[in-house]
Amino acid sequence: MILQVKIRKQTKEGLLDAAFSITEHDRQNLSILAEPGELRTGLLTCIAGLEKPDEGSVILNDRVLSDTLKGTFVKPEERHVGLICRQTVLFSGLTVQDNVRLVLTAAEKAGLSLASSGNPVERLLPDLLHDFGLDGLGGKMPSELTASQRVRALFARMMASQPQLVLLDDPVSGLDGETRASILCAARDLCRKKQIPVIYAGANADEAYQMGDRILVLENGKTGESKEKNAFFEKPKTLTGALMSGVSNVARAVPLSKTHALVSDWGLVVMKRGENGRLLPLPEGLCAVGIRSSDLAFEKPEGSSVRLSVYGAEVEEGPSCFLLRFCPVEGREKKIEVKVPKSVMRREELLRISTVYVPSNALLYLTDGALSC
Amino acid sequence: MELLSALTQSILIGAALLVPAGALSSLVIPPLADALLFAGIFVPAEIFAGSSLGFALTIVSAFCLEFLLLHMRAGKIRRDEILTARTLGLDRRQIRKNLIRPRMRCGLPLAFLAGICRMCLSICPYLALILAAALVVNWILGRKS
Repeated sequence: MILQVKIRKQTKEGLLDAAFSITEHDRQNLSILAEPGELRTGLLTCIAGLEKPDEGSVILNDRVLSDTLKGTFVKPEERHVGLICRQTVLFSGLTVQDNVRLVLTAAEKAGLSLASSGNPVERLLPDLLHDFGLDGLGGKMPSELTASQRVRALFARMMASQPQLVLLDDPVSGLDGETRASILCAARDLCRKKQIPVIYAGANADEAYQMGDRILVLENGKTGESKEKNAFFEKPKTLTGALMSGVSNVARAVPLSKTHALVSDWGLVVMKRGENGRLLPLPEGLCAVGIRSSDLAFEKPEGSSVRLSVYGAEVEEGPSCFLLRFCPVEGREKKIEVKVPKSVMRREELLRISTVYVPSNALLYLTDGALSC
Repeated sequence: MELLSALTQSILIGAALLVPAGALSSLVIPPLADALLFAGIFVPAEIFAGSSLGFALTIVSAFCLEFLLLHMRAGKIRRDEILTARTLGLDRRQIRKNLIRPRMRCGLPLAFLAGICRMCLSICPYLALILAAALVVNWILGRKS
């Protein structure tokens, strides 16, 4: 077992009740999809040892870091767990290279293998700066750096501490999209090369996909749906999971029978058929249905499908595609969104559309996370 | 009774000198600490008023209190930095050695200068009033320009 976490902690935002693990077998990076707040940060700070859980245990590489039953609590500086969160800062009185050098020296003194002969600190320092695109910036003070350079320096310094586990709490917030992706990619690749597991926590679905092999949803402080990332993004099972994975069209559903559910916002009774044509049973705790905007079609697809009428169509123009918004029931406000590439259809054509189809197998049955847990 | 009177008098004088002295030596010291500092300076001076011991106590305590307060403040480290340092594997001893002490060393000349300033003010409290007037004039002229 690489990491086993079982934590309960009362915070101002509510109860944090998390349980998950990373095993040798599925040596994978984990992305935790959760809204920002005390619960998400609390989970990571409990693993890093900056906060003590009320109940539970954290075990890293078969070493008990904290266990409330046995009264064990390893200090954060002895855990070898790297953490970057909003509170993480560069030491203001030191240059970038002095920040990294200080941590490298501390790691060397702590007896951690720096995997370099001769003077390992001075050998590793330029490599770390290079890995995060900080060549030539080592002599600068933190106040002289741009926001992205500061984040890069935080990563370089964290890697200098030779962590056995890396925890990232939305470390690139406030940066532009391209910079965010490049910094996270550099961190992920370096961790992979050094075989260090990474736990990324954030609300951005694209970044969660980029950083993790497995996705875990933290729902009001409780660990919910957990799946391999492609399976999760293809078919999320819970309402929170669907919303966090970017399913934009979601409506409440009420089961009518074992196989049929009423979606009053869309004016539909929905059902799904399996490959053999038989009706599939509704999942226990069904509370909503969802459709990805990319799964909606303007022509009737093969196989069974759901037909939606188009009322009050509005078209918004983006750089590469149109966003069609419509109401499936006349006079209702609940809108459905469809993204249409500009190369496929013109604005005028979109406004004339009267029917949209949802392939039956693309319809997502969503359960209440708390119920499914 | 004599002690109480001395204490009251020193706090009053301290409060009167608070603004100019604070502006001159260390704006970072909060008013309460400043008032206590002045009380600390003037109480021994009032008790031993007229004696050479009172005079010596006044100037020595003025220098020491100002120097120590500012010196400690220079080495102050933010909580964020301590938490960051701990997750990076630095223990308390290393934090003190590598992050706090260098800052205190940097703040040493300023603390020394502030101590000297405070000492001068304790010898000649009227200097503080002159400085306060100068500061007010400077501020008004600065606003007009």
